Amino acid sequence: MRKLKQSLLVIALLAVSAWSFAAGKTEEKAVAAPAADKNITLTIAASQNWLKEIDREISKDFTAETGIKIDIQVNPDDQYPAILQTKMNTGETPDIFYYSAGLTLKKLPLDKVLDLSQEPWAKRMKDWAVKGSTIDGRLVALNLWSVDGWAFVYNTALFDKLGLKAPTNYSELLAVCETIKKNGVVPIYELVGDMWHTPLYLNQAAADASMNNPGLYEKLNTNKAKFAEIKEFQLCVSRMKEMADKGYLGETYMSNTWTNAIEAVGTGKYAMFFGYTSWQNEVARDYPQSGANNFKMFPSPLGVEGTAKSFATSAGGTVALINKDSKNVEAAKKYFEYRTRPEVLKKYYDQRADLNSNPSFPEVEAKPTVGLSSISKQVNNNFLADAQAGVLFYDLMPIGEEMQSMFAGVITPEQALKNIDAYRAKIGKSAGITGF
Amino acid sequence: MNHDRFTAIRLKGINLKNNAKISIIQGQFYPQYFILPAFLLYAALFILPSLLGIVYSLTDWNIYRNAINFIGLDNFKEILATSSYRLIIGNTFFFALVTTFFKILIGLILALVLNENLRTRHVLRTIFYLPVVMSPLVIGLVFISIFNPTRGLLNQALRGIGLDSFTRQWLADAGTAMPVVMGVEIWRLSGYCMVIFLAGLQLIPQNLYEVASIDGAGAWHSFMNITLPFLRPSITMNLILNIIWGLKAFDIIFILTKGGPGHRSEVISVSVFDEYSSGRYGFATALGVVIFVLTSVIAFVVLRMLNKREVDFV
Repeated sequence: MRKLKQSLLVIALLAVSAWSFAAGKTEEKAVAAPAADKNITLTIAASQNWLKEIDREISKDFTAETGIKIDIQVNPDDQYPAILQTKMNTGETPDIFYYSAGLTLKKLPLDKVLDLSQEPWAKRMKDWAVKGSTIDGRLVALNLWSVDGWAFVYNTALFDKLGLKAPTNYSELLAVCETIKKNGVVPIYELVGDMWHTPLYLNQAAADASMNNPGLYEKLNTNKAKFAEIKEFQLCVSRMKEMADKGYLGETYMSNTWTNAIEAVGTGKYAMFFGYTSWQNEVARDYPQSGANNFKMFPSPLGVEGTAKSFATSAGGTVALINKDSKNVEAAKKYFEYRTRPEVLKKYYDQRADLNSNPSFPEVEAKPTVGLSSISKQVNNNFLADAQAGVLFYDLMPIGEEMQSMFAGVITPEQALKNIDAYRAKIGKSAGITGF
Repeated sequence: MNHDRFTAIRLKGINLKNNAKISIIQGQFYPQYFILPAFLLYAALFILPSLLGIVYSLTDWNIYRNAINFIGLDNFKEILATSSYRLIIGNTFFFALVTTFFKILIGLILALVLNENLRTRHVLRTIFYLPVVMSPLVIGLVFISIFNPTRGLLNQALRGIGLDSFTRQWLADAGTAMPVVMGVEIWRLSGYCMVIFLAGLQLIPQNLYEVASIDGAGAWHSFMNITLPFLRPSITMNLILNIIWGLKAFDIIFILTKGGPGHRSEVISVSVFDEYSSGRYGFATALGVVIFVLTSVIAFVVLRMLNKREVDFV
């Protein structure tokens, strides 16, 4: 009897395992439709937060029209680049994969990426989107994102209540933070532990530095200039540490996470957040009473001695590329053509409140947020390329690791910049870039 | 018979003593080529990749260039010359030694207690062994929640009993990150050591304790002179396995702290992952070779030291 019970238990466990496996495998498969390409399955890889429900919905529509199935493979944000590189090195490159726009694309083996320059939609893409997807004269990616930048999003209702104005320089920022802190609100929500966020402040400092030193990015890319020697970077990191030490980032900034940022600001516990221009839409969606639709923005003054005069913008967020060696290249091109139809673009951007401030195609109406309008006015539309767009090997995670060490008190701000230079030097040397 | 100088091997009811120099491999019981399939598989899946790894560690293989160039020991020179890597190697040793010590200590205590005739001993053994079979990812995520500085169970409990001053950002503080990670690892694998010790305890002849008791030996004397000597094979096994696991630890550390803050909880395996993510494959492989060499040397030395002192119990 005991043996029978044990056997039944084992059989039940195996059955549950088999069912779970089968259920998990079919989760991302779209419903097939009668069409000539119904035996093709396109694999699309991306970081987990880059693709939303609307991407899956559009993929299902594509399958219904063409019969081509879509298999979406998402990976944790911090591990996606490594996973993608592994797949590319082992010959398992997905048919379509997403990556960060701009110079970062050079980390990919671009000889294995399809040239999209002659695609019919290529001529329709906005200039900034083409620029961020072009490497060595080849258009290698489709941009379905937005050009955006990171700045301080602030709770305008709280500022009005406390009689505060948006700061234009560092001294004013300190004064604003002190007033907010005295009134029982944490001035700034920061997430040092997530590592990728703190380097974004240096993005702005880089734009400020490039404005004051024309040709700086080229010098950084040939190792003729170093982060540790640039005044704007020195100011930025030392001021970030100073603000943390003064308590303006709260008590838990070392372990805060991105996923709690919306709640932190939406509930009024924190007054400001270093976010992108459409971030306030997401706060307004989850916390309508917060008045987030009226939040405004101001550029980070951490890297300048006087007034902040520029807004650093990206090379275009994330882009989609096609594996040149894929067996389904034509199907992948069909998918890109489908995604770039005006009606599909409109449907997509309507659901992407985080991207519709400046869509990549002109057929879709831009819906700039109050934040973007306020910052544009403050800097007189002086938008400049940020570090990620213009500086080689500006990798957020390794740089964020040095920033984390700085905030933890393990190294000084000066040492953090030297370590960033050392990291870039070793990568540059590996890549055989002249000067490194 | 003198049991002190050799180990007896039972094979199909025949006693063979190794001091007579009879071995299975001499072919008296199985032909030598019987070992070939397993050896070929082992060679293909372990020996060959290890050798290839050593070869690649001597190159500048990276994602940025197609050409792979031989650079000799440059990768190893960089590892030894960089202070952060020296810190990481030190962290790795520290992690391995401390976790091994406490896992064995706690595992032994649990085994001794649960070897007694308690009615709940089977349930308790299962409970203490459960963390061993749980996924490190799940354990890591649970403990991230427990150690959350604002809503985590630990800090909430401390605040609840009026010990607010003891609350910390456990995983984000340079002073507590490594101890916390070690604590989780010790909690996770003490059950494994317990099971090995329990198996060893079953093989100790009970009449020895009776004789010792008649002779007036107390519990401590019995433990030191009967239990421990007979547990040497179990101690050896636990020591070797836990040192190897400690030196190769990755999953729990990566999930909890990713080696931060400031490399304070970083070990070699996490560095291998970071360098691989940066695209420096040759360098990452060199770090892997460092782990391989350290693990092999330490395991060999410990095994040699402890095997000499094992007790035969036939």
